[in-house]
Amino acid sequence: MSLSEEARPQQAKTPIRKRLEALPALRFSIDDLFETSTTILAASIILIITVTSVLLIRGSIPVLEGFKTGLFTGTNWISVAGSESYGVLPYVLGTLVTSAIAVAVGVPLSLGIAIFLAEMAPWSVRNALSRVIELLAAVPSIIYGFWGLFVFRFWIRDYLEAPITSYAGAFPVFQGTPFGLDILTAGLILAIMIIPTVSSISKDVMMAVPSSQREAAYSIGATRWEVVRTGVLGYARSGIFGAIILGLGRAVGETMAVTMVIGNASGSAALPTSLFKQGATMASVIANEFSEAESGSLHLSALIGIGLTLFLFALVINVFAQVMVWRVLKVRGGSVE
Amino acid sequence: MSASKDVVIRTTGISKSIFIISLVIVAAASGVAGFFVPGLLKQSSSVITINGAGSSFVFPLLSAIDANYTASNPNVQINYQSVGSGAGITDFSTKIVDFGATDAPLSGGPTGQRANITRDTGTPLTIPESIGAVAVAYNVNGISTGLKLNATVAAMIFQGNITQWNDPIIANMNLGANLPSSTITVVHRSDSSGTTFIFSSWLNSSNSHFPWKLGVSKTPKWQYGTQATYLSLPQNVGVAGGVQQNPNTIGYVELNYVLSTAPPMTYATVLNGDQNGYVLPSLTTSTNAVNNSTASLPTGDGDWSKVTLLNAHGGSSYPIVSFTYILVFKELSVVPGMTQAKAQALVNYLWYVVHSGQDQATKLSFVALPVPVRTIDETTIRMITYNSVALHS
Amino acid sequence: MLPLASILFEVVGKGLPAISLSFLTRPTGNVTDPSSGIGNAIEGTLILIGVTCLIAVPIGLFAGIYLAEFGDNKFGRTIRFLNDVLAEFPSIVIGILAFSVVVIAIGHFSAIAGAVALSIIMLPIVTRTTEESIKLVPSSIRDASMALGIRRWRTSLSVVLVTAKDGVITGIMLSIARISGETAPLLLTVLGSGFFFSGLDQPIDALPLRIFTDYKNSNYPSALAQGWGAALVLIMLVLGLNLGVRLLTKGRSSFARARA
Repeated sequence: MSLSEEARPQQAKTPIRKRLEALPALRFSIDDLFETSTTILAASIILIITVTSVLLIRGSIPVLEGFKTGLFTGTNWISVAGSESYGVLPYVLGTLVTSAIAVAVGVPLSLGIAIFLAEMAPWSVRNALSRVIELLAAVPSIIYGFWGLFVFRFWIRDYLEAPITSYAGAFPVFQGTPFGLDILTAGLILAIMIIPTVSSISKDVMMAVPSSQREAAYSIGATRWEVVRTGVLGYARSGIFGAIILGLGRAVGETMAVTMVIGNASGSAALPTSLFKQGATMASVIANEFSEAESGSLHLSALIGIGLTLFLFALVINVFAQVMVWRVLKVRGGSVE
Repeated sequence: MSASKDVVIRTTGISKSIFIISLVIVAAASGVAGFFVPGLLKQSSSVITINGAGSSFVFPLLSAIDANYTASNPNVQINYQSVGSGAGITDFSTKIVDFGATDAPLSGGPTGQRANITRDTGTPLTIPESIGAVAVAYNVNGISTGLKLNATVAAMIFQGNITQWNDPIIANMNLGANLPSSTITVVHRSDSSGTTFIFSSWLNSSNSHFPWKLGVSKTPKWQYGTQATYLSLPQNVGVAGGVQQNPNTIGYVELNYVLSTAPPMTYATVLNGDQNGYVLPSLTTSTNAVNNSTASLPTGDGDWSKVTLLNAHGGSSYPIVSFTYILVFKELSVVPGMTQAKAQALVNYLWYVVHSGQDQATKLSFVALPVPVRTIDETTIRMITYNSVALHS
Repeated sequence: MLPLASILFEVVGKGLPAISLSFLTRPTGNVTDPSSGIGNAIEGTLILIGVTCLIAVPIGLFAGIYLAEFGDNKFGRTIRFLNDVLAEFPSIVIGILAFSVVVIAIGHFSAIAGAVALSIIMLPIVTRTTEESIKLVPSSIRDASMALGIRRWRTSLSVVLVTAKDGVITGIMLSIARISGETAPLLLTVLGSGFFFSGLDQPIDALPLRIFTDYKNSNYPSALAQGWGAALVLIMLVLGLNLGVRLLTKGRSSFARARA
């Protein structure tokens, strides 16, 4: 037994006491309590996911029975009773394309802002710009939607899509009359929406890198950029990856703003064959149709089927991201010890 | 790091598992207790709140009526929110609100909504509380309000049989109009909508040579296998904006929206039900349509799914007109949380809606209920009971 | 920064004229009436933020601490993975979840259902940022603390977490900004209300709901003006919370960081 036990003066051992002491490791300390409570609370995430998946699976059973894997590969979306046909593929592709645009445009911009703020800006500029970014974060998603609908889409239509159509309109990815309400605009609005998240977290992460790292890089003769690249970004890899994941989460999950600017195509017309086409994401379809689907109907089950597909989508994306990151950055999610 | 554990002086204490179990019990007990303690967690009982949900179309009218009602009955708060007709029916049938409002009546037949609700919960009563009309709005350079259309041509446009503004069919109906050769862009609702239901019902009265193929519903089969160019936007305001901000567009918008919006929209004059004249949508022509149709309305507890004000008789009756309904259970005790006082308040409120409440209609660009309809509603409201006792004599 | 300037220009330009003391304190009542105010929406948003933080912040903090301190095992990796998946759920699906569980259980729309939905949205963000912030604290600080004989749990809470404070606060404030602007889950859980708070088990109003309703009725000029005013108030509210929290928690951590 431990030191303390032997050090204690011998007491008369009553039968109960003997039995108590015979039981294995009953006692614990506040450290154990701490560890236990953090474990329990972390496990609540598992609870939420479990409840969600049970509800999603249960709700999707009718539509899965009717269409089996056709739900995932089909492209029709007809909810009129009697000729129903449900396929989520166009919406999966829509989510994929819009989030890809959001990340491809938003992440480099965010990292650029974060590097500027963390490494190069004087602290007054850093404070002011941080407040500005927080201002951007404070804008509700529904306002982004309105702004997109009434202002942004005209910029995109007139300054981006019209020139592109006149020069490269023949390319399949740029086909179609640009209205400004299409997949491209949706992707770009999402990019703007994820910049505050990704850049603030990345900035904080970079600022938390100890100066010893930077000093070490300088001391072996690295240039300014090399110091940032190896000393700071290297150490902050895991945190930046976390920031990107949260930004991606926002892009995949954003509902209201997307519904207002994506054009809300339906069924096979929603297949994202061109950036200038109207499209739909899984989230926008659910938002548009959920409150009107009758409870117990096949339509409702199909919408829950979209929810289930989204869940699987998120699982796949995250597995892919973890593998990519592990390979490329040699970062493994791990704890301090 | 782990060496620190041994530094701690261990004393006798309770076991881990007992601690966790007691924690869970305490949390559960306090949660349950909190649910029953009035005040912060539950509503205080001096104010009666009645919750309703449903049609966005009738929301401005009900909002004004509710405010006036609470002003004269301060201990009754009516909370009506616009979640859409379909959600209104669902929330009503699952009893999570006290009344629902919808532009589309409960579907009939042995497997319809009315049958399901009657079987699962109780008899639903249908109370028309206002009337809506749908205007066909468009945005074509040089064409002002008054382009002539009928159900057949509209159906052909909205499902893509006609794709250009200067198509001979449109031109022949509108001799002298300077129609451009541009492609028609059809703007429609992306969200499920009672307005769409009314409009698609009217499109369904299209000539049998060119039948309406996309279905009568709150979400028709737009874009499925048609030649039309579509733009799909949420809410009335989305469609209106879509028409106003893009050239060569056509769409459908609730009349009260068209009449109160600035800048004003251009809309079509439509062939009437008797097919002997073109009628511009307005409060007057909508009222005419209702007045010529009230002959065959069912009782409040009956099947309203076949009730239609479309294509009403009369030279100046606008053809795209419809009731909008409040749904309430006949026997109010089936609604959880209902009390005698609350049921009485609900009935008094409904009585107010179809009488004094209608004073709010015209200034908000809604059509006021004509007297014959009010009479039918009075009979229906008298049917409402709480524990089998009628609440309004 | 051009988009931001444009957004602000629109919101401030159209929203400022609508703001007045009565606008901020009166209840909504009749949407078409110019005297309608957003007092109940402001109150509702504040209450929802408060209750949501009460639920999500402790859980998120402790979960993040777990992942950073004890989570280098299979269980921890699973939780981290699932946390990322949860972060990608659309708010509408979380709204449906809260509807199926809380609204059905209570029997009608309620503020607590909305708070549950919002805390599920908030939780993964707080967890992830807490975890990352703690992992960035140099082990020298933790070692120094343990070497002084401070117990493990005390070290985690008083030394490490405080050093990581800035990152954690950023995460919390970002998620507050996010949830205060969410509309879709609230539509399904709290219904909205024209009146002031009347109990956690009753419907409640919130600024994004108010903005959405005003948008739907924006053919009435008073509703349109109210919508813009509400948008401006919401942005200012979140910003105010942000600045307030940062001012209150300014302190020791910045020194510790520079030294290491």
